[in-house]
Amino acid sequence: MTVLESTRRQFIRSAAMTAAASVLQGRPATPADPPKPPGGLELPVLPGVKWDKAPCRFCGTGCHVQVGVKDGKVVAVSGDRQAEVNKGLLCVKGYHVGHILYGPERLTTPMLRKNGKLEPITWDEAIEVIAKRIAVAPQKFAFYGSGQWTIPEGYAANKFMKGGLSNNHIDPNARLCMASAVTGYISTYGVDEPYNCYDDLDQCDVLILWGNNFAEMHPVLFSRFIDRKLKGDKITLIDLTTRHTRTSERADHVLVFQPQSDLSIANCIAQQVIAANAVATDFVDKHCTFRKPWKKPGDPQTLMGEPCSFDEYKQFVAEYTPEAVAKTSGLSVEQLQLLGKLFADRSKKIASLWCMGPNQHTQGTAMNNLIHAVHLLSGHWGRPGDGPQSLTGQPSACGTVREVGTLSHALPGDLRVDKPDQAAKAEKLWHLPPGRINPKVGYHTVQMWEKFCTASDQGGDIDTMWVQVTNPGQSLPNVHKLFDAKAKLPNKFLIVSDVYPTATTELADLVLPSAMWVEKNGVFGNSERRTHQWFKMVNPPGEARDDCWQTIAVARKLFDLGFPGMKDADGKFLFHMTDAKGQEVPVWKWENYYGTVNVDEKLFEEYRPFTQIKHKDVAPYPELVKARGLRWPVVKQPDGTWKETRYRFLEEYDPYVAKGKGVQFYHSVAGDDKAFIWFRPYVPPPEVPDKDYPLWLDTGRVLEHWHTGTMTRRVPQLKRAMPSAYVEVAREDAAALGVKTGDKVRLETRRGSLELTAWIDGRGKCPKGHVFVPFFDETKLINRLTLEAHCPFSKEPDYKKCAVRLVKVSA
Amino acid sequence: MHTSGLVITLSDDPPQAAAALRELAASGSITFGEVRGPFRAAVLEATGPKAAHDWHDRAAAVPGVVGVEVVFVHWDVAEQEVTHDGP
Repeated sequence: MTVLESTRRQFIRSAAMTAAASVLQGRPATPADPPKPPGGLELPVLPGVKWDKAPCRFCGTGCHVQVGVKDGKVVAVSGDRQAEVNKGLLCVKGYHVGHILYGPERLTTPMLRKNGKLEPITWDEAIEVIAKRIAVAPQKFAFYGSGQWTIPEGYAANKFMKGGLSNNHIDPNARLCMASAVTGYISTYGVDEPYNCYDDLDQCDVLILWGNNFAEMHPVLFSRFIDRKLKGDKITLIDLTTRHTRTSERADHVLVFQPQSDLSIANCIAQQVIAANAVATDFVDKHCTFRKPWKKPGDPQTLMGEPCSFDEYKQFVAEYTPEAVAKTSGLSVEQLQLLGKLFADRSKKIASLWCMGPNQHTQGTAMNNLIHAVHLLSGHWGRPGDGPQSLTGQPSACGTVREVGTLSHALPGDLRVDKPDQAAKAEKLWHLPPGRINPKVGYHTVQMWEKFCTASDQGGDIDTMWVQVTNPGQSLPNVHKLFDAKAKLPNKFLIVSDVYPTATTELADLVLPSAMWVEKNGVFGNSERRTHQWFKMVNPPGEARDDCWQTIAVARKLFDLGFPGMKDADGKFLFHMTDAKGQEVPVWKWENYYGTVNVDEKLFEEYRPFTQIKHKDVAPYPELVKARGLRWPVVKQPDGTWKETRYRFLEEYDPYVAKGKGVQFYHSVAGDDKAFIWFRPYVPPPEVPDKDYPLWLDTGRVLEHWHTGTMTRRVPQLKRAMPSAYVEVAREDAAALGVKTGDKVRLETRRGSLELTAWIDGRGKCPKGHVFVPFFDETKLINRLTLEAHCPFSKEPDYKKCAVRLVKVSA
Repeated sequence: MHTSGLVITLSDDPPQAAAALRELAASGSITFGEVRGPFRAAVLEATGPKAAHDWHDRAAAVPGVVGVEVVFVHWDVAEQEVTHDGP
């Protein structure tokens, strides 16, 4: 090593130690330590490295990083100490977030399948191919997007489809992960998204995780809570789960329940709160009404249900006693009573968090309703640290899907396509002729892919599908039926915009190389209503271009072809943008995309008025540039500054609550400013283990790979960290089947089979009768085995439970 | 070279924490810095992100280690030099 190299390394080592020491200063070490910002907010000094902020590319937590760029490449990443979410900390993905840009398989040129082989073509050709297919049959076109779309990307796609093509067949992959949370919020409070925020983790006395492996899926937030234990706070962690995970290792109580019995457990909590005379009568009388899911038991349940009295509600939950629920849930009477007693005690603040467990559930909406219900009924709602909050798994599932409305029924700002007055508002804001928006709800994800994978003469009326920023060939349930079937339908045309080859590009007819993360401008919205902005820092490789540009370029080609929908009410292009002098900038030409206008800013500012309709006011773009994310509603103050909102519906925090109201659910379903406390009964799952398929199959994620591994499996070093999927088998089941760790086994369901390596107990510990398989590995597609049955309201499939058998193949 | 700034959280049991530090130090690629309560600043030098990640997993499993968090990562460009030649 040369002296120069030695000095350089010493310099880097010193920067690393300084960064770690600075973060240390912000961590409370004893109960007496007041919260304070991390010490030394200055950025690490490294020669030639320029730093800028960005949210992490991975999960929905919304950690902020500082990205170090040198000579046009990302060379360093530092936790952003100014960020409230993560206070300078990153999880293990921090090692890799910079490297995901530089996997050797990056897609770099558009490719069209000719004679079965993908061959390079120009962008002009690619755009023309798409536009011509859409122009021929615009209603047979569908757009499948993502909770990883940036807000401007999703907004542009939504406007293109609903405002341009009068076509509502647009839906995101977030349908598969948080649609049940949306229907849960809307049917409880009348409006989507949490009222609270991560600050609850700093204030709660008890944290209940409902089917949520918090330690591995949201590690930075988990540390934020665990830190409090370390400094001596008397706090309790309850892991309500179907299998032991790394979260269980830190929990004070691990309550392992049988799949689907979470419905009964929640009702059992309500039963006990009532039996203990612990209903928060003042709060409930003023701010809640009761709701039942049908006119009478036995009728089909509905999303918005029917009013009911407290006495009726009490009667409904009466059968869910601890003794009764203990017989089916796998929990003991004592464990159920532990939960009941906690909710009956108002002196303790209880935070509930959940993510995929209650959401990916055939009763997903019901489970979400019930978690809100036990908090509202018991009065564990509304104090910081005392309330229910759903989490998301993708970085902008909230921002781009829920707020921008990229679901097949939705419009930006929580408007709906099938409500004429709401569609008219969108047409006005988009300056479209009246009636442009089609009032018929489009296909949701499962329907959309069924229609695409069904022959046209057999009712498959989607012929062209454009996928951006997601990998449905791996993530859809029952992929044999919903994706692989496309291979035998030559007239179906699949367009995929992505950064790496995936299970989806394998069947694509046209592949478009996309820019990712800091190769483009972006805006994300995280799980706590926080909107983050970042700027492009490095160039994408080869011919890769922004997804948003791709959408606008196709829209412009259609405009040039004379497609009437691409014109607004004045005949101007749907994405007409002007510079500071009022001159139109042809942003559909790539050379202008990062020119005199910031396309992201233009689209975001166009979108912003939508957010004010339901008091979800996002901050102006320039304010987001200055901040490490701001939680909406962000409201202008008399002094001209902009203030975010930590808690909605509470007068103390939310400027939209009327003076003197204290609490006001100002978008309530019934228009009476009250939330619904729902009764939702236990409903059996559509498939349960039997003599032929005697085990439960659960699927999920692992720490090393993010979702389908599109990014993380393309980084060679990370791929080797967890190279392939496996099946976790309970020790008792393994003994009965004569299976050891490392044996090859075959899993079989009614939909397919898959060979995997067995891991006894595994990283988690499945209870007897259960197996677990992660879904990141496209060479071992577990979703060939899963069930496409979904929640009747959210249409979100249940990936967490179906019946399976395990057969030993070889030792 | 892949250089990481870390915050390691140790058990509140002093003997267990001390044993954990000894075991981590034995790996040779770690330098410890400032201490604050159960938290310890550290720098890890590894050959690449895979090696860093592996070390991280091993460290997190050591009795007496409550958690390991990343706060800074720098790598040499040579680690990520690749050709973008498509599929």
